[in-house]
Order: sequence, then C-alpha cells, then structure tokens
Amino acid sequence: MASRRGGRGTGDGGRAWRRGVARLIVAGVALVGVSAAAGGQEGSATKSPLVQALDLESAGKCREAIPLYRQSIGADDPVGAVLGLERCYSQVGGSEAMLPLVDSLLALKPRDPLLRTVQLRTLIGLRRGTEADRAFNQWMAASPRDPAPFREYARLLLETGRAAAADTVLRGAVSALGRTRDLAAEFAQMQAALGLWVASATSWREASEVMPYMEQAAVFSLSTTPDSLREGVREVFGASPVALRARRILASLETRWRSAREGWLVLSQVPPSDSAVQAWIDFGAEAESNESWLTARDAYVAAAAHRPNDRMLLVKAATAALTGGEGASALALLQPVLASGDSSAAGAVALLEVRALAQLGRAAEIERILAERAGPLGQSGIRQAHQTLAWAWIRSGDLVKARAALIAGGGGTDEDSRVEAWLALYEGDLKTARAGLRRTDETSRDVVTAMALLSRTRAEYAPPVGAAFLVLARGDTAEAARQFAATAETLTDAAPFLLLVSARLWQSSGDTPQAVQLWQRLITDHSDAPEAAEAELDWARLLRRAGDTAGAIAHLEHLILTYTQSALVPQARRELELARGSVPPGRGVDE
Amino acid sequence: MVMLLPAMAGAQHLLVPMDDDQSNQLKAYGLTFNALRDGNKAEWFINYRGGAYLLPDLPDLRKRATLDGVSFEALDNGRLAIIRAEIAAGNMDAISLERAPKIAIYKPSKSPPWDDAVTLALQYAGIDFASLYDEEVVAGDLAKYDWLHLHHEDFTGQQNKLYLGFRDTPWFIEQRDVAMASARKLNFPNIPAMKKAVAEKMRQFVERGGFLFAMCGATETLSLAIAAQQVDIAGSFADGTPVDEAADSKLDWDRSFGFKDVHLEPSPFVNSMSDIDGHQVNVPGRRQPLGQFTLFQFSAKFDPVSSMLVQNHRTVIPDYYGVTTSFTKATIKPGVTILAQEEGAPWAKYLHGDYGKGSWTYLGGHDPEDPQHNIGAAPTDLSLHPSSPGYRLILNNVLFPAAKKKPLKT
Repeated sequence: MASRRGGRGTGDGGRAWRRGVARLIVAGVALVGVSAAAGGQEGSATKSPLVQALDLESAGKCREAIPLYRQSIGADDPVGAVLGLERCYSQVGGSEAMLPLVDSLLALKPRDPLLRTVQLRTLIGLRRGTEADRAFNQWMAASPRDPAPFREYARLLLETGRAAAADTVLRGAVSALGRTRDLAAEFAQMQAALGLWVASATSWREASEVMPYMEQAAVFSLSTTPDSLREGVREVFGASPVALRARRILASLETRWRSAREGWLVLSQVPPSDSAVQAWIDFGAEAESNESWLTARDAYVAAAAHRPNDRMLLVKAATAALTGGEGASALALLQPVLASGDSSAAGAVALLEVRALAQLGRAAEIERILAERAGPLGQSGIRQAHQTLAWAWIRSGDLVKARAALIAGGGGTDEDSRVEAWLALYEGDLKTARAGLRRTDETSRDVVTAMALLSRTRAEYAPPVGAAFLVLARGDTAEAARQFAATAETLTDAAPFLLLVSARLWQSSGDTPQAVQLWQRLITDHSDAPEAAEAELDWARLLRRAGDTAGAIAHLEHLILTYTQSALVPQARRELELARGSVPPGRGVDE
Repeated sequence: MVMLLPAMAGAQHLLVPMDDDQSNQLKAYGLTFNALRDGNKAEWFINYRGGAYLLPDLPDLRKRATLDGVSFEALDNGRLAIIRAEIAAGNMDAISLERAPKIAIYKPSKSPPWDDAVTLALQYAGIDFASLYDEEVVAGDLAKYDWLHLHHEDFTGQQNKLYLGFRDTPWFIEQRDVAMASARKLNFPNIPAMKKAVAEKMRQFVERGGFLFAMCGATETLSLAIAAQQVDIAGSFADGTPVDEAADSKLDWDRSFGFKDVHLEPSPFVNSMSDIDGHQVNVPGRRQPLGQFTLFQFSAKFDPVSSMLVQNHRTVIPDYYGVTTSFTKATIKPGVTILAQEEGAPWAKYLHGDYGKGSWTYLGGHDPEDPQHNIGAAPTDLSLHPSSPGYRLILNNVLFPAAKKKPLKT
C-alpha cells in the first residue's frame, strides 16, 4: 500500500496504478454481465448500472450492488457511485477496498472535496489515524487557502468524539487561513465538546449568520450548557445588533432551560419583518408542543398583528388561550373573526366560543348560540356543545339544567356518561358516581380527589359531600374548604381525608391559619390515619417556604420517627436533607 | 429501610451493617462519628458485613439512625459473642474507635460549599469540620486538628495551569487576585512562594503525627511543592521566572510524600504538572480512558490500617477523572501501600504511607459520582448516591484516625 501510494500520480508508477484501476472496473463490468445473465432480471437492460445498483442496495443486496456501482464510476457524474460504494463496502465490511479506488480517482481530480471527504471518512472509520493525517495534509497541499479540508477533517474527528484532535486541526486552519466564518460551525462543535460553552456560543452565532440551517445544531449542541455558565451564553446571543437567527437559537435554549415564556421574551424583541413574524408563528407552535399555552397565545397574537388577513392566527391564539384557562381572552380574540363574517371556519369558531363561555360559566349565552347559530356546528358539534353547556350549568350550580342539556344533546356517548357520573357525585349519589367515574381515564386533580374519597368511604348517599364538590366546581375554594371540613363530622369513615382536602383548599386560597388548624387536628385526633403523615409533610413544606427551617425540620423529624411505615418517609428524609442543607439545593422537590 | 428487630427489648448494642443490607452507608459513618463525638465508644468490625459498626444501644442513636435512614440491628450480648467468635475465626478484626478526630478542610473561605467531594461527603453524613486556608496554615493553626483534607488546590502556585484557558473568566481573575493579596499579606513575593510555604507546614503537620487525606490535584501538587522547596518549578506566568531547566534532578523526593523520579511538565501550554498522573485528562493526545479500579484485600489482623481504608461493600469501583486522576506506578516510592489500582494499567488509584509520626492517604480523581466532572457542572447530590462505594473510601479516611492504635501493623 505504501509503495503504491508513493508512486501515485508520478511517472510510470502512477500510470501503472491507474491501469490497474481500469482493469478493476472492467472486471466489474464483466461480473455485472454474468450477474445480469444469470438473474435474467426483467427491465434491467433499460436501467443504468447506477439505478440497478441503487435498487439492489435498497433491497439489501450490497454485494451484488458493488460491481454495478464500480461500473458507474466512469460515468459523467460519479458522485452517486462513489457514495453508493462507500455505503455498500461499509455494509459488507470491505471499506478497505474503497481506498485504492478513491486514490485512483483523486489522481484525476486531486481537489475534489467529495472524494477527499470519502477518503478521510474511510480512513477514520478504519482507525488509520496516521494515514488520515497524511491524507488531510495532501488535501491541504492540493487546495491551499481552501477551508474545506479543515472543516471536513475537524467535523469527522468531532463525530468520533476526538474533540482535542479537532481542536488541533482548527487551530491549524486559523494559522493557515486566519479565522474564517466557513469553519465557525466546526469551531462551535469542538468548543462545546471541550466544555468551552461561551466560546462555542460565539462561534454558533457566527455560524448561524452564514448557515441558517445550523440553528437546530446550535440548540442541540448548547442545550447541555451547565447552569452556572448559561448567563454567558445568553449574553452572546442577546448581544446587539439584535439578529433573528441568534434570537431564535436563544429562544429555543431558554425554552429548554427555563420556560417558553423566557424564550418568547427573547424572540419578541426582534423588529417585525416577514421572517420575524414567521419565526413568531413557529415559536407559537413550539410553545404549544411544550404545553405553554399562554405563551403560544402571545406569539400568535403578535404575528396576527402583522398579518391582519390571516384570521386563523387569531383562531390559533384563541385556542391556546382557552386551553391555558383564559376563556375571556379567547372570547376577545375571537371577536374580530366573528365580526369578519368569514364562514370558512365558522363551525370551529362557534365551538371555541361555546367552550370559552362554558369556562366562564355563561351558560345562557351558550343556549343563545345553540338556538341562533347552531348550523355551522354540525351534528357532532351540536352534541359537543350541549355537553359543554352541561358543564357551564354545573359551574352555575344548576344541576337540573345541566341534565336537561345532556338530554337535549342526544346523550349516549362516553362523555355523556362521564358528565352524568359527576352530576351524581354533585347530587350526593356516591354509589352511581363510584360506578361512573371508575371508567374514566381522566387524571385531573378533581377526579383524583373524587376517586380517593369514593374509595375511602362506604357511604352510598352523602348530599353534603356532593354539595362541597359542586362548590369546588363553581370555583369557590374557601366555601368548598369550609364544607369539606363540615362533612368530616358526618362522613366519619372518610373524615381524615376530608380534613386533609379542606386543609389543602385553605392553603391554596391563602388562608394558612385554617390549614394549620386542620393539620394539627389530623396529627392529634387522627394519628393512625395515613393523612396524618401527609398533613405533617404539608405543614413542614409550608414552614420551609416561609423560612422557618427549624419548624420544618421538627415536623419532618416527627413524621419520620412517628409514621415509620408511611410511604412518605423517603420523601420526608429527602426534604429533611434539603432543610438541613446537607445536600446541594436546586434539585429537590418543592425547591 | 430501617430494620428494627423485634423482641430485643433487652438489647445492649446496635449493629450497623455496611453490606447490601445497609440502606444508607454514607450516613452510617456520620452516625458513628457523632456517637464518638458525644463520648460514646464504638467498634469497627473490619471485613465483617462490609465493615460494620458496633454502637451502644441508646435511644438517641436509634433516633438519629431512624431519621437518617441508617439500617441497624439490635444485639444482645449472646448474639454479639457469636459475632465476635466469627470475627476471630476469619480475616476480620474488631477495632476500637475511641475519639472523633478534629477535622479541617483546606479551602478558600469563598469557595462554593459543594466544590469538593470530601466537603460533600462530610456535609451529607452530618460530620462537623472546620475550614482553613493559607493564612491560618501559615499562622500554625494546623496544630489544632487531627485530620486535614486537601482537594484540587495547586500547591505549585500555578492555579492548575488554567491561565491559558480561563484567564479572562471572572472566577479565575478573582481567585488569582485573592491569592496574590494573601501572598502580599504574608510577605511572599508571589503565589508559588506562598504555596510552597503552606505545603511545608502540611509536611510538618504529618511529620508531627497528623493525618492528611488528599484528592484530585492536591495529591500531585502537594508532593511536588514539598520536593521543590529549593527549586523553581512554576512557569513564568505564575512567578515571573521560567521553570528551572534542571528542576527534575533537583527535586528532593526524600522529604516528600509518595513519589520519586518524577518528570515535570515544563510547558505552560500543556495542562499537566508532571508524569505522576497516569490519565492526563486535560492534555489532548495523552488523555487515557477511564476504566475501573479494584481495592486490595489486606490482612485485617496484621494490617488494620490498610484494611480500614478499603472497607467497602464493593471491591471493583468505576474510575472517575480529576485534575490528577491516578498515580503512575513508576513514580511511586517503594514502601508506599497501594490500596487500589486498575488491573493491567500502569497506574494506581489509592495510596497510603506513613511519614514521621503521622500518615498520608492519596485518592485520585475529583468526584466518585461524577466521572467526567467539568468546570461549572452541577454539584453531586449524595442523597441520590447513599451507598456510593467511591465516597465510602473518603469516609473510611475520616474514621480511621479514631481507631485505637494497635502495635500489630506490619
């Protein structure tokens, strides 16, 4: 091999070597002839050898494809054949055979970047580092002032995890060419691999200015930047002048590191332009996929302001607002669409409006829509609208009208059964509710609370409990807390559970003294119940958040020592570590 | 899981197993250390159930163990007698632990609390320690302590040769400025001169009977700094003068810990101090991949010190990088005890030696549960690694000075 390479391209040795390659190619043709004759494949005569080779490779017949690829090397455009051979030789474990072939082609086209890259890739794949270095040096000599040899070799080294070797190559590029933007992406990857995050961010920003397709690569590369160094990365991408691509990268990073809201803050500062507006729309979709609904809404609203004729942007914004729990905002966003009289999405818009009104408990207005504008909804839409109306009546506290709405919608669906089960619970018919809710696959907090209660009590009928759940559904947390605590007196087999629910509701409504009173009652009067440990943990968390570390530690220790068999003990130990400061902060629950 | 054996109302002892029955090995060290601190006696059952501890059965100890999730078993005297017979019959021994050692960690006052593995381990285990740094060491404060820990400090005064890569970063500039201010305050011309003086104080601390435990870059640079008391081994970027060209031959290894015939890395552009480190993690081209190291087994009855230092529930432990990851065997002095090494590799991981009236122990690497540890990486949360075999090696070192001296050591 060494002597052959030594003679390549010079004098008789080089010519002899090329003749050898020509013989190889001829041999390949002969093999193909035999193969075609033996196989008798119909239609192969009309296909070029390259197409036949591709077909064979696609069929997993790499060994058969290789001679056909070799036959295609002499064609006008040998690129497909060379790459096909590289793939097939790699598949059959014969990459060694690529090297003489590529050498022969390089003798004819010494500056061809594809051939040079294939040569380097093959040598690195074969772990022939010294020969790869030599091939790289030959490429540099053949193409002086060209960044391609540095870029390709550094990229290949990075792909094999050899960041330090890539660093050496890129430093060589700086010496030979001066710092060049063509290599910015390779610099960036190398720097990230070496943990030089801020330098990598600078290179990625530079790369993104000339290679927009590198944005995702930049995000992927920098997403693992350690917390303590992220501020430096932020400064790089946020620096003046404000550049859309840099901001898109930073927005995606912020979405991963902190929240979509932070990402949107970064991107929204870009001056509006066609590209910026499209970037906002894309970001809205990204925020939706992260379930950051209100951020998605804001991105769509900003885009809609610059594309007034695109009403679907407002529909998207309203949908995101509604999913994010902002029914009023959704209604406001839908108004211009409704006013425009655009009939293209009238059904979807009407259903959105119904859902938004239901969220706000404005059942009478839904009835008006169903009476006056039901047409565009269609049969299925009308049924959905009635189910939504039933929930709206529930939130208004009118269970009779809620049942009537279900009946008016036709009933009979799984969703109808689910709503009926809730209606039974609100009416205190625990037996029916237990049977109905058991079938649900919903995992909302309300369902979990309801199912936990229904499994704790054997009672079949308890109107006060239903009334408490109904008050909760209507959004009156404080009154619900009061009623749950009151029902503990009558529904004694579920008393600890009802007290704990009440305490949590008091806490979420900001009345911590009421919550503390109930936790104390649970610990004192119901120490055998599992809720006692939960009360102790909730209490400790409250104290810790309020800065009373000693108080929190006392409760956590009491929990661990008193309820030794509780499933909450490991969690309590973890929080005890955090409260004592014996493990680093920032990763714990409730941090 | 905490095991409270029933029907042991008359128990006199608590056995703290350290094998796989223990749910929190690291906290068990803290339980034992604090029992000693409070004036109780304890025993270390070497090679018995992973290096179990025997404590008196006291309500307070039971309470602490339960809070920390440390498993224990109540023993009466009959059961204990059976265990003692088992220990007497095998390669095991019972070592009395008498007094909790006074612990100091050498680190700057402003260093992050989660920056070194020993600080992490002590804080997690609930073991109290004091912090001291250059000014206190030079003032002679080491005499107040029994046990001293060093981590990734560079005692050659070259700030781990990070100058080239990090000279513009705020933390590096602050570190250098603080060190320079200390050097001026203590009347040293530069940082390398001050660190040499600090290293000499540490040598004297061990010579007079102290226990020194070092990890990461402190192992290599402390030995270099002690050997180089009369030689300039710091680059000009650190002290304004180049490294003495004949430094290798002028190093006085007779007065230093652990090593011999060391070749210094003179280039300021190469992020390595010498050929002591086998892995050379920060030098492209020299960096060696991580493997796993194996703890040696010693005779518990005839070599109790080495046995104590390798007590573990695992004998093979995944390796981890540090500024100094391992110790090239060719540079280790004869007479140094190799406690752990990578099979077939030319380096050792864990060394121990006597010096004067004291002893030193070197453990390579930065953080046993963060094999690649990069600058700026998140700190290790030990509550996620309560049975870390690598961290056990650190905590063995904390408790071994508590042992009552035995004349049996080979």
